[in-house]
Amino acid sequence: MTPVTHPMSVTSTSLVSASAGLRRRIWPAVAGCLTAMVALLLAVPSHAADTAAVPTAAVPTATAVPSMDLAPDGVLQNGLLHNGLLVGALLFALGLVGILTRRNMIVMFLSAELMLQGVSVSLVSWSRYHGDWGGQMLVIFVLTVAACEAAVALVFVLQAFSRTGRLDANAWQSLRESVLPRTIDQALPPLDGGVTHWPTLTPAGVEPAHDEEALLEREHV
Amino acid sequence: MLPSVFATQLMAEAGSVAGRPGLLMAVAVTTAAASLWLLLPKGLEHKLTRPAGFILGAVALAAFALAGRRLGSIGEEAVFALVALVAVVSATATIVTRSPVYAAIWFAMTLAGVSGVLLILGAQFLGVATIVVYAGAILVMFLFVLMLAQPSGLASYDRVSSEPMLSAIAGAVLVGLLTISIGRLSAPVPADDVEAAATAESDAPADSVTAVVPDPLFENHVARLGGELFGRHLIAVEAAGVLLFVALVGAIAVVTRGEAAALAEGRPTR
Repeated sequence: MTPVTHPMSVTSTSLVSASAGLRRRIWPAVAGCLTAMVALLLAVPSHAADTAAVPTAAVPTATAVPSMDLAPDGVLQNGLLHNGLLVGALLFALGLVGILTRRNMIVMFLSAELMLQGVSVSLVSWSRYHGDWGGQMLVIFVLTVAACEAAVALVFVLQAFSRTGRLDANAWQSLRESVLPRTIDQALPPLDGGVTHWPTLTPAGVEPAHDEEALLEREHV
Repeated sequence: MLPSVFATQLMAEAGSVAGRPGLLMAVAVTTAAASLWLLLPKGLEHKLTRPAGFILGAVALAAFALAGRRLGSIGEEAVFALVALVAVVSATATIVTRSPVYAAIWFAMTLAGVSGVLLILGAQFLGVATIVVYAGAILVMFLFVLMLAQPSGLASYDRVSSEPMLSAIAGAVLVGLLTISIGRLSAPVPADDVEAAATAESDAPADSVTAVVPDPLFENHVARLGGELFGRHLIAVEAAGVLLFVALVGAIAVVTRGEAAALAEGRPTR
């Protein structure tokens, strides 16, 4: 459980070093999740065919066809629902990745807002599909709650910043669970750009002598 | 992990990808995860890391676009693809860009894309409200706090991220699972089912599934939305008003108590 403390030998994928034991315990679970998900994905067409085939086999009349697949709106509504849900899922997952991995608290809250946007897109897709107002009503309240959340969260961010002088979420890592390893930042290489050279103007003429008294004088009372 | 990703990708490119939606989605998800991992700030980057991330991201976006369903007309598909592309690319840029100010600006771009998606989905009021409330108010508040709190230059904690690979894989697994449920939900109807339904209805031709049905919520959209909101959901509106008020009071209370505590401890206040 001892954290890596070689400041110069950077071999891991990230400069933030968790302990080796934690990594060893996490990786099998991660690999299992990924393979299971890919296997499930590859099994999707057969599942879909099964679910579509079962009702028609059971009762061979047209009324038994699942209404979800054969909505009167047809391909257009179904396609809009599918694409909207896909965009919503992508936005939600991107927000999740951002909130898991970024360390700037403001970027973390932006990621949370991103997840709310994904949920909003999904809700409006359902609203369009069913042709009722429920989803859009929910999105209106999502907007309201997002405004409240942003206000309160930004106040907390400002308070945290005034205590530590950093927007870093890891500045508060003394609040972590006692079994978790401490994150130790390594020395970062300098940025590629080096020193930024801002544009300057060559002074023209001679700067006149300032009259201090005149500058301090107030014309109007 | 990466060899399996590339193996999946190569296998997908070799085979006929578009015919199998599951394989297509697996390719999309794994390339998206690899691209995110390459693009996230890691503090120490090879100079080829970002181009590789861009290329993999383009592959993932193309795969996701291929996995999308056909809409009614080619124009509608093009517009939807454009706004969805803006939304997703800007969302990616929001989480991978180093500077938090640029992240906020990219988030505004995401809001523009999301607003376009909402407009296409028929939610006219929400499309406008997203721009007005989010980009106009919430995002400006974010930028204001950034202006107050951002140190000059790029902070060290903006140049690294905690466990980017695990997070990217978690996001990929989430997208994969959501896609599975979406695909099972809106699975394409087999051809014989469509014909059975069409013959059962007997007045619709077999290709009537492409007929464009107008949005039932289109007529008098905002008026009916307001009626619904202040009729059926009136109690919820009142509760939301109370919530906004409590958030306002709470934010001010936290600030004043924090400043009092800072004065008591002798820390500088703003």
